[in-house]
Amino acid sequence: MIRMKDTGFRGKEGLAQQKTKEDATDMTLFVRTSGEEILEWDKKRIYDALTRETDISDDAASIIAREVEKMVLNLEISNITAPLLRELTNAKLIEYGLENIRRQHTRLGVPIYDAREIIVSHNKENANVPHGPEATNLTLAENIKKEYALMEVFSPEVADAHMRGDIHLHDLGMVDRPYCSGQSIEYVKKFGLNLPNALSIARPAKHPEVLIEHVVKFSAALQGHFAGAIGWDAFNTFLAPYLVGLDERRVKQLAQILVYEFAQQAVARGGQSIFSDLNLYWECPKHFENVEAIGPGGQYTGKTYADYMPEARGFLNALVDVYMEGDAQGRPFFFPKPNVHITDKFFKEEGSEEFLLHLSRLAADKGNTYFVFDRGDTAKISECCRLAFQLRPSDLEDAKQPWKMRYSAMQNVTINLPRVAYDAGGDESKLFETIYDRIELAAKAHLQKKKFISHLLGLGKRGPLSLLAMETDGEPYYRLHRASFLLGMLGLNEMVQSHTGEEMHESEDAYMFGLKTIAFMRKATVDMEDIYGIHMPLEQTPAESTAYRMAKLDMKYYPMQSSAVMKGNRATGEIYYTNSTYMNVSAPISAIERVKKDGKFHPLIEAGALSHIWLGESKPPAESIANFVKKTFRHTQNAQIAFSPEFTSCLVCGRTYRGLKDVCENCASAVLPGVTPIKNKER
Amino acid sequence: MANIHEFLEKLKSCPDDFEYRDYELGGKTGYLVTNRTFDTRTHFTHDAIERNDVSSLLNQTYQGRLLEHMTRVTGFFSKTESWNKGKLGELKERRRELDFHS
Repeated sequence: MIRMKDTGFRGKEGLAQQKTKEDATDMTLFVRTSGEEILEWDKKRIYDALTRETDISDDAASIIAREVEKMVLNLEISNITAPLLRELTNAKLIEYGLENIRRQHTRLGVPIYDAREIIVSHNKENANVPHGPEATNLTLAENIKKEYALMEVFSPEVADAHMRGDIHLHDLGMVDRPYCSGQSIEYVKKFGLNLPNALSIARPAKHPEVLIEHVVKFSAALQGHFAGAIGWDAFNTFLAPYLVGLDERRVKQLAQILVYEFAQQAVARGGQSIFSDLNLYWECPKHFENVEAIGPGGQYTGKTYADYMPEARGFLNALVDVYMEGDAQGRPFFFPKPNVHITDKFFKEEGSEEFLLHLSRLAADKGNTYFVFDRGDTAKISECCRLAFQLRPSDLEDAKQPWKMRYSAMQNVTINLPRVAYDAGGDESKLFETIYDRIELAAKAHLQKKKFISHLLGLGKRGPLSLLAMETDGEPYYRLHRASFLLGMLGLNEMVQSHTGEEMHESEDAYMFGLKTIAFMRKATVDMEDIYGIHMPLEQTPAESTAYRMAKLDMKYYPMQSSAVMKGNRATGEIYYTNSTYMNVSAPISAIERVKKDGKFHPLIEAGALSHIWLGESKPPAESIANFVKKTFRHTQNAQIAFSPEFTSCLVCGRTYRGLKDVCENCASAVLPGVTPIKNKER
Repeated sequence: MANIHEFLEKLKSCPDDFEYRDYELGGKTGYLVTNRTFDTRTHFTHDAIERNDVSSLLNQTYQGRLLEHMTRVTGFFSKTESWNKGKLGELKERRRELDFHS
């Protein structure tokens, strides 16, 4: 076997594609190209592709092209596809020891079997993606971008760690966008809708309906440039100057427009709803009290936001009413999520008791409310499943020009904690060393993503991220210097269980070991900040698909160790690791105890933590919820809580029930004359 | 008999979802229809088929089981029908606060 040197870089200048067919043979072989053409065989195309796409030398490219031709000639076929030809060329490259060239010459795509599965079957990785042509476009494109990310954006060390399941790089299929974005509607109010590549430009809105439409459209535009949630800060505060003098009915109508416009955006990207968040305040947030208000036409009104409290509150009450009614069938709205901030100031404000009850009624009835706790001087923008952008002193300075308040998480990388315990084999110092190493790997992944996105942003107006590069207010929309790089964790409970033999709810020692681990992780992220210069806060990864992916990988590669701690049902394959820093979801702990214990982790997790209270079919009185919220605020360190009821909706009669039901009682009893349901013996 | 024909044609056109056969129940002739998706069996007399439209008849084969279920998956609400297996495993094990008090 001949081996060639796999180094010799050759410049790409002067290698203009030659389209002439000087080297054609007389063979009657046709190539079906990916450009939807059938072309006569010409080995020069192999040479051209190799020299255009890779660092191969001219001589080596000629030899490979000739060798491939020889091989194809021997096959006695009359047709060959371009992808197959490429793979045959790749096989030749490997034979000649040109692995690096082969890598550069890789073809990305999916087998026809996968394409069929994707087009016909439902993607269940993300519950927010319905099934339809737009959704399958998204899945197919994401598959290719995922492969691209792992080959081009990330180093082999990082990519391999992801594929093994040591760490998880989130949203690889959207590698060419940052993760989540939080901002205020002031940008839209001040500048209108003037987006790069837009076919028409809108001046700042004069009427509230138009402003709402601008915000929803801008959200859709942002959704196309971020992988995850689009959050709006102090929404009701900033909308208020548009609501002066409107009666209650009109305000309710506006609230309804807002909710329905967001909730029904499933016509957007990938047939997906916009993952949208509204941050809401009963009081005027301290940092906006003395800020000059922008009103209709994008003009200053001469007042401050503190002057618009009646309008802000009226809208907030109307919004809660709309959520309370639910959709046409009484089902809860999935989006936009209302994140209501509970602060020290909240309790001092007029009418807050009554509003808290109103909000608690909604939490009990439909579950929409996120209670976001900002104690002391904390201020944050909450969004996504629990992501929070905590405002720093410099941000509070920006608050004077609220359109500048644009925050983003560039990426999320999650550490598979149970696997760390398996690798450490009971050795505590090895356990912490391994966690540290994986965090450092996550930091490297962040730097690689940052470099890639910076490159795309650097292409400016002509680049793919022109929207994020637009400089309407004198600096790029995407403020790279304020981007955070999230570090998530999965399965702390199973890690502790594997290492200590007990789950976190089973003993104080096990719980304390969990806390010690997260404190260690936090300290490690501060080190990374010093070493690599990126802000890398901890976040409780929502891990909708990661909790399942890592469980499956560990059952495969660590069957003995993972079986001992795995949650779910192994017989049905419904296995999972407990999310982030949570205790076992089935543990018999009272809600307040859970919120307290969860809450001890929260101050360590700057970029977002949340406790769930699963209500099932029960519907507690609003007073109980309100009391619970107050207690949580005053006596725990918990950052956010949400109450989650369950619903069943009948697709035949349209009735909505509380709880997860197997049968719609209404339809089961509405049997037509002459029709007899037969009881199934096994049932 | 137009309705019976239409009903049976509809069942025939979805062999993955339905099967049917002649069946006498309580002395009344008719058809026994199996809904494969929901694993139900429903008997229809000829009269019942004649008197109702096809979609009402098909709805009877669900026996109240054509449902969507909704709750919070991680942070947002969604339909559990679209959840992955891991999340479904978690859903079954979640401890509900059925007797919530503060």
